[in-house]
Amino acid sequence: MKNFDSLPIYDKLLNKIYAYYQTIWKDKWKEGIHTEWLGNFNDVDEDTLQKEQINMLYLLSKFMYFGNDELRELLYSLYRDLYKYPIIASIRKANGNTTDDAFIENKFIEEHENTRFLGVGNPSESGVHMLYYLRQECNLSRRFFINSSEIFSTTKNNETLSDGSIREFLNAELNNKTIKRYIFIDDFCGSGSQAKSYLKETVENIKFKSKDIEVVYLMLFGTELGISNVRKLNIFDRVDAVFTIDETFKAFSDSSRYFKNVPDAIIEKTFSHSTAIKYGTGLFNPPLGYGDSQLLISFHHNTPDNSLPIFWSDHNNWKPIFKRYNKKY
Amino acid sequence: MINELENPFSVTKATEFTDIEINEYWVNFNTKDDVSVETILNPNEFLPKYVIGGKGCGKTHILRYFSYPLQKIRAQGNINALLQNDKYIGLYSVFHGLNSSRFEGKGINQFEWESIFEYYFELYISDNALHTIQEIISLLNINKEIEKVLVGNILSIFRNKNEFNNINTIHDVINLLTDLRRKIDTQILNAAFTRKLVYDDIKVLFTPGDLIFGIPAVTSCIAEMTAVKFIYIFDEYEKLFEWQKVFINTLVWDKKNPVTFWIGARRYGYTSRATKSGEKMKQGSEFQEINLDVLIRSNEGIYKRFAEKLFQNRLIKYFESKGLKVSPEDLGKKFKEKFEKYDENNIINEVIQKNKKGEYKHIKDLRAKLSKGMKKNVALDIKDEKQIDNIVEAVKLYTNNNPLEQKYKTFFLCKAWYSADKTMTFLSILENMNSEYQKFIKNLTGSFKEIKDKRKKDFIVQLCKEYNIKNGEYLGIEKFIELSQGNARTFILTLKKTIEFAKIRGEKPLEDGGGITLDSQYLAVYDTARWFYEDAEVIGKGGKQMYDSLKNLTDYFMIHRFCDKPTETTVSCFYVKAEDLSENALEVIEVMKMHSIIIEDDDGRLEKNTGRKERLFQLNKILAPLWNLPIVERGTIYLNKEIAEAIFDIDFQKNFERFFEKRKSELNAPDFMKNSGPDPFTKLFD
Repeated sequence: MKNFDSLPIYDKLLNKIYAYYQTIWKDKWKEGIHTEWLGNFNDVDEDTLQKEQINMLYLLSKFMYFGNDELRELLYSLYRDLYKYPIIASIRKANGNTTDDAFIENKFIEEHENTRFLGVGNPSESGVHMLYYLRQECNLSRRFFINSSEIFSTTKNNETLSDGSIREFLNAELNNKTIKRYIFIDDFCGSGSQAKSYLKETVENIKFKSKDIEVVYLMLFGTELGISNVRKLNIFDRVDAVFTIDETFKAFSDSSRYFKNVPDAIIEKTFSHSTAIKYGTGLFNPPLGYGDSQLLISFHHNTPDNSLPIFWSDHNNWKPIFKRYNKKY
Repeated sequence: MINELENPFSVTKATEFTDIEINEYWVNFNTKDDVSVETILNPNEFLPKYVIGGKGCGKTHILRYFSYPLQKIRAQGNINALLQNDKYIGLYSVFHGLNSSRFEGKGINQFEWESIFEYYFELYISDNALHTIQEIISLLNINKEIEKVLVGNILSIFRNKNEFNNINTIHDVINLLTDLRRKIDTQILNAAFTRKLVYDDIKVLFTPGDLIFGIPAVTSCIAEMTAVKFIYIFDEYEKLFEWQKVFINTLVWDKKNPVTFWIGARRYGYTSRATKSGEKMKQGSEFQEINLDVLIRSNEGIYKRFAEKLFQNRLIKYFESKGLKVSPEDLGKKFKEKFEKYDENNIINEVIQKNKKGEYKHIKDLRAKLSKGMKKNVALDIKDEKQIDNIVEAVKLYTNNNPLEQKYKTFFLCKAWYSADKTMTFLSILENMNSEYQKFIKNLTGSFKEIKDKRKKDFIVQLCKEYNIKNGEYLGIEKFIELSQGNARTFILTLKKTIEFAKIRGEKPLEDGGGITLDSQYLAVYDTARWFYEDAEVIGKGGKQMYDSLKNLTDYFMIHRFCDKPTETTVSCFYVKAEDLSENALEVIEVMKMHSIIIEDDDGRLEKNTGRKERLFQLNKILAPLWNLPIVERGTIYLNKEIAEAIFDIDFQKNFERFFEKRKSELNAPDFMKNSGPDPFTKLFD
């Protein structure tokens, strides 16, 4: 029905960005931030420059930023949908599909008492950072949260060998044998490599001690590839994400959701792609983000390196719009 | 983060204001002559008023301003002064608060609903009156004995007055009424399940009007209130069912001293003059209709001053809240200076900058059109591309690569081409064109001076469209006032968005040294226009018809602005012979008018030959930016029966595309050669 279209495409896109800054991006607003970022694109040819800026603004208009409020909501969703409801479903199934609220609630409390939540990675990393908000949003007691180092306790043992000598060795035992379930929480899973490097050994040790203990890996966001790689490790009883990032979220893939319908002919996937490579090359290797993920995603606490570096890098005096705080190893 | 409180224009609806803010942000519509809102509403007279206006015209602000809480603020709490000076008490209520749509359905017949609504309405309205009276007698330090007399007088209105033994204060009466209302609320709620209203529980204790008129009348037992009038101010009349409106009209029609009514309504909801007696109320003798939109729009100068005071007032309050003392005049001047000025030369320079590499788009288009004309054998003597090159060169000649000047020449060329007989050559047209153009360069009168005077704005906008540049004809605070067309909310909303955009762009619009760029102004205007378009509140079939018609109308306007040979300049108005049009078309025109999508000029358009006055309408100026249409009231096109019905009548809208294409071909080269001769669409009047 609408037949108006008098706003030039550049302004139409800017208008969208401003609307985001007034609402869902409000905690990322800094005076002149978008102007500085647009200034990164500096082709000497004016026509090319204009086209680059419009195409990059278009990508920006598709960028998904999850602020503090949104992340807290997602954490609540993770707790409710990926943790609590599956337990309730299994309680009901084991009890003739009962609808007795009080019974279900009591059983859930029993299960919950025997559950511990852990972050993925070292205490300075984002997976662990999420636990603080999870505890607040879901009103959980701090006793449900532990560090990986608290899963086992070690005792110093002696053994007398056949030659009469004494061998000293450390023995690891599960610290709390009543625990039936360990839930590992992560904010983002791109390739699944972190789950492997941080958790494989720990989870295998848990399972070695008791194969009945359920070990679950839950994340807020996970790429299809990352989720699949973690599942392939075959160490977790369940791997799940609140938000699964499929191939359509890969900016320049054949199935990219962003270029199915563009608002103006000046916006082209191939041109956007080459522009992102052109400027991304000096910023990060690979130029379209870790694992060539080509994502347009950022969180309140950081931007994953799987996103396009033109959005987050500050390398070579590049002015990022969703700055990434790189890990120092 | 952008903080909403940091925007002096953040509140755009009077319902969001507190009583204190209603008073502080009040600006009288004029202060000197008889156009003042206060003198028009005239609380001193008993004649009831229906205050009609579109959304955002200031109706609620005005009605609340005359209510008791505001009177008290103005009187600084001195109740004696209030009663002596004002001589009225304004009792403001919103129909919305009644939840009036409850009184329907649930298996209960209409007659029962009408009775229960009338009874409930009276209890609801009287509650407000009693609370106000309670406060007044408290402020007057009226002793308990007199209050008891007053309460006795009120209770005497009730049929079962002898049953009230323990009711001695106004507070007790309020509780009694609240209790009665609660019982009805419960009955209505349960009716969804019980499918009936239990009257044993409700008990109707008085006849309609007894309390509404009776309570004010009995206050005369208080000496200070003997000469005081009660004005029931009801807002949002449009929220009522038609039968509920008839009941309200009946109360108004049947009013008794010391009571009168002011009823606030949106224009589209002001649909009934009927009363329960079967008679219709007569305007003038029985009530006065005050159409705020018409009142404001017909006093442009006053509205401009009003709007200026409105934004100055907001700024003063904003800076005062930050502890700064500023004079209104200085503040207004400084704020206006922050707006970057629109300059047409900047657009021309931008076009030149954007087109360094090749020919301008309008030159390419001209080539294509001449070539098409040649192939169709309608391009006079043109036989080859070389001649086309020569024509293009002649158009460029002396223009110093100025695209606007070339637009003037292209228009001259197309007009001459259209009017030429077959024996004419392009060479003679070009010679004439450049001879006239040279006169123009020397500042002599002639064709080009006229073209520039009449068509410059349209050609600049054509360039804006061709080069994706924002059209700046809507920018600047004066233009914002003009665009708002008498609607204060539209004006304040534009300013609100302007500040928002300027802040987010880091322009520091409210700080020393800051400013408001044209970009921020444009985005604000565009966003406000879009809000106005989307917020028209017409739903269902009527809404679809209105939007379809608006699309057709604006498409039709646009082909007159973006064409080679415009017949009219800056077209934003149309007129029709209303008696020729179908009922459907007239109905849609009426809906569009009620929602201020189009605005009728009451002066109409006079037919020179017969002196007949035809109905004349303009597209609401705030909508113009959505289509790059003009806002000056200059160009008017006649819509004959066929076209008007193709635009406005759903039964004939299938014909619109055909008329549109035909008209488009008449206005553009080379297709206009098929139609050369008198213009059948616009030449009704000479």
